[in-house]
Amino acid sequence: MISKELVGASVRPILLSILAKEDSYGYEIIQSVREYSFGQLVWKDGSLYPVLHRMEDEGFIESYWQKTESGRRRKYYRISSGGKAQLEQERHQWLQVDAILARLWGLQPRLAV
Amino acid sequence: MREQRYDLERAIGSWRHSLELRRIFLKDDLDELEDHLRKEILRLTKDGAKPKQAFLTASESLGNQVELENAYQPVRFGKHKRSQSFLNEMLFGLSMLKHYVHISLRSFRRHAVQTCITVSGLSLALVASLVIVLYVQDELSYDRFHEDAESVHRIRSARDGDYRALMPASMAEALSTDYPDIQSVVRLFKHWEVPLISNGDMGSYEQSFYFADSSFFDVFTFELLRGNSKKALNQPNSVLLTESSARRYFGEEDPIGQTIRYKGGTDLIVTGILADIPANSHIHPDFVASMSTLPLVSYSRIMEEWAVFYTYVRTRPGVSADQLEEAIEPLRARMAGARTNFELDAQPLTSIHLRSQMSSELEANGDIRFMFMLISIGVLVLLIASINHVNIATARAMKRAREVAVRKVAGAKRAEVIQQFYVEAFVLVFVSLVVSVGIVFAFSSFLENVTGKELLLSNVSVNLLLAGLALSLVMGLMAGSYPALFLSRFQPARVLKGAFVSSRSGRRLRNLLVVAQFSASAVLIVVTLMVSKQIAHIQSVDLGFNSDNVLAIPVPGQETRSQYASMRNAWLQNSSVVSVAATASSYPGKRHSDGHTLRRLEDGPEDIHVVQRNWVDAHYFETMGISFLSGAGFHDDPSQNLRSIILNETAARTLGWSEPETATGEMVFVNPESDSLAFQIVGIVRDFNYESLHSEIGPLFFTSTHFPTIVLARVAENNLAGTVLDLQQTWKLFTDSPFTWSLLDMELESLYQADVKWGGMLRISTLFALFIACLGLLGLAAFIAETRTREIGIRKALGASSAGIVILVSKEFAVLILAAVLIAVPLSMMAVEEWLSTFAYRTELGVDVFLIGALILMATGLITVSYHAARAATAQPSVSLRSSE
Repeated sequence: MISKELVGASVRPILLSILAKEDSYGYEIIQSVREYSFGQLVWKDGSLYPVLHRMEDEGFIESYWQKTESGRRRKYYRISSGGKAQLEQERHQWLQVDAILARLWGLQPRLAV
Repeated sequence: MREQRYDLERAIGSWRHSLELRRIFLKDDLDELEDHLRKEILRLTKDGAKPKQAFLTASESLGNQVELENAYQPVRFGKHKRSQSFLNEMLFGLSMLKHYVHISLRSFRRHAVQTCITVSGLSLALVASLVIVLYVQDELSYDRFHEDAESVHRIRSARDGDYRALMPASMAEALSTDYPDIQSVVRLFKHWEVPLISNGDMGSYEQSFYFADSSFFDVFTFELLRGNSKKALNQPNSVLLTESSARRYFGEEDPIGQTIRYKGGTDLIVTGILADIPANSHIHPDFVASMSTLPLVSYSRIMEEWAVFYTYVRTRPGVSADQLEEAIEPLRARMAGARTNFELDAQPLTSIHLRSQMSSELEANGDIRFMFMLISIGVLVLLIASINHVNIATARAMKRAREVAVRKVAGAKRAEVIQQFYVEAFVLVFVSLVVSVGIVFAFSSFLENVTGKELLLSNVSVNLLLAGLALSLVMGLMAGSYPALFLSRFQPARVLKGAFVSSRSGRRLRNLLVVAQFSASAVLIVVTLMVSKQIAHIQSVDLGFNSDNVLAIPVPGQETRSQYASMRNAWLQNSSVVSVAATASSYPGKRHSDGHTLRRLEDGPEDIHVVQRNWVDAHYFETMGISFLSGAGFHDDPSQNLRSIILNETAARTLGWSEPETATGEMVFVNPESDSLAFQIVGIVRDFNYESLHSEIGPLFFTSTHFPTIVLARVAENNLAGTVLDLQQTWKLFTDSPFTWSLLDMELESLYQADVKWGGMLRISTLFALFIACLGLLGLAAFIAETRTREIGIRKALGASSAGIVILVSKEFAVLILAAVLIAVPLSMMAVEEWLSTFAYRTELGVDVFLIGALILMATGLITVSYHAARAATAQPSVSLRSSE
């Protein structure tokens, strides 16, 4: 299991990366995280939404409502151009950290691949 | 079977509703979360879970309410207020408010006595501060009704910081022609003698008869009801009347085009009717005659020779007083001539009422320092009353602690507990506000008597409402804050386990607040005593003349004046008449003619001194009991006095005789600009206070007159009314003019009316403050006696006497009150010093005042406390020991 601090630090690049692939809504985002992390990255489902709201406030993502097949409203999120730039920046930083740790541990940095 | 009946929709509905109650979530959030929940339930049921199980698992993985709220809190804080769910927010807030009010009322009912104490204190304080607010507001509104009042200034001259507003007539002419910043100029003149105005056989002496230039309405915005504001004052012998004075002289007749007679001689044509002058104006003319009339009815060269005109200018909008002063610098230089200490000063119209205290004001003005003092008193009284609530609320904290603990356990956040106590304070204040507005209306005539203002007539509802709301807000915050913050801090776990003991810090704070309250009261008591002492001092100070039983009788008209000598002889036949004198202008206690100049024969032209003047006959000094330092005074035969002059000591000193008595026999010029013949000094009189004790005795000189406008008669003390009747009988033998009279003593008293009124206001507010502070003490003493019931019971069971117990309980308060007195002494000395400095003749700050003040405070405080102490002390120990708390 990944520690709380690391989860907290990685949640934004993860969300941005998922939304960079395609627009999505909360439930689906959580499912993707679960798939990509093979269940290693677990968070309380409810705590995802405030993070999304904050990122929306900060202008990294945008939201819009769509009707579902059952007639309910569903909130979709998409990445903004600011979010793309932010993602690029985060990616760069994570690669640096990965490279440092790899050198320390005598491993090939893998993120860079 | 059971599972099949599980109502999934209902479960989701109630889950959503419980989140709704947490006010942090917006409708959008709830939709989003619900969507998530449903998706997850769908997935779980597809995997074969039962609906109930699926719901529980899904909502668990989404997080419970507290977790969700904590997650949203940092993101949402402050945001939901702006959201479209504002209405919900309001509804929710209202229902909580209703709840808090309900709880407050319940708590008030349970502690009815203490609530009554707090409410009466708060109401009285609100009454006092409401009246003060209305009063101050009225004082501040003076002269603001003029259109663009900021652009109107009065021009004054200053010599060594001594301001005078009386200017030569020529100044206005220079100002109106030479200076582009100045749009219009008006001169006002008001005679120092009160003229008789008559219409047929109806006449009276008019205190407020003004002369003004035709530009009167260009500078001032007084409403002209009838007549043409451009023309009404153009012609000589025209006069405007206010509506009320027109009604007095003409009843229901149309006054326009009719005439009134000025001083029994000149007929003036009514050319317009003014609306009555607003109370908040620094001048209140009842009559305004055209300036061109003045030389015809007064000294014919008055416009050329005398500096007796008040000059007001209206500038272009936006020109400040400083800019105006700069602009008129050339005029200043011209007027100053060789004098270096001569300045011209532009005094804003709106500051005249509160910030101008010259000897030659047109009417008695207010004083900005009184406003500050009044506001301080208002704040003190509010503070004292608020402290009552703080003290009683924190004293009851022990009992409230459990309530707070239970609320917190049930989920109340600290902010909500704080809200509750604020609501409680505001409900108290609001009830008090209603009570106090009721009191203000019920006692309006009394309050108007005390303040001398019609506070409730003009635009009362709005002002009173606004003032009341503002004051309640301040008061609610003052009274509510400490209890709210203090009571909301309790830790439920500790309180409910019984760990809460009466906190020592709470008691220390209460003691501190009691000291603050009583210090404030002590300051007010001492100030009040000092003011009373000063007023008594004024009434006893030696004025330098004797005003006892002196009648002042105005002599109207030339024809009556010509009869004066024979009438005087006839009066003196009466054994009750001690002596009779005449003056042509003024007498002690009245304004004296201003702006005259004197120069010694041997001095150069720059050594002229501005002095005041009176015209009197030879008997004036004897009648008024004014004694001569040297010389014999005027000759009985007026023709011998044409070039004689009498100075007062100060005038002699001002002119340069360091020993005034030696000046007799010397020569001086009077108004040397217009008169080149010297006068001989025939006497120096001892200084006497000829205007008011507020001002120092200035330089004054007398010349002789055979033109009596006022007769002064000293009569025997007994049978005053009879003597006056006799005088009137004699008068009727000589003239048909009305016989009017006044007592000099009473006129002098009226000079200090403002101080007496001020003293009255102070006395009342002090009573208020002391009473409110004692109310608080009463509540606190009751509480302490109650909490110490058992201790007192045990002491009594062990043999303490009732007296001993009373002393025990009272001692605590005695120490507090003593501390309050010690704090109050320096504060009140500062406050009194400030006020006393407005008097030229002042009483000493004595120890007696402080001792009496301390005694009053001690006595009232201890009487208040000892009531409850005595009740506790006389209770039966067997009863008090059985009490459960």
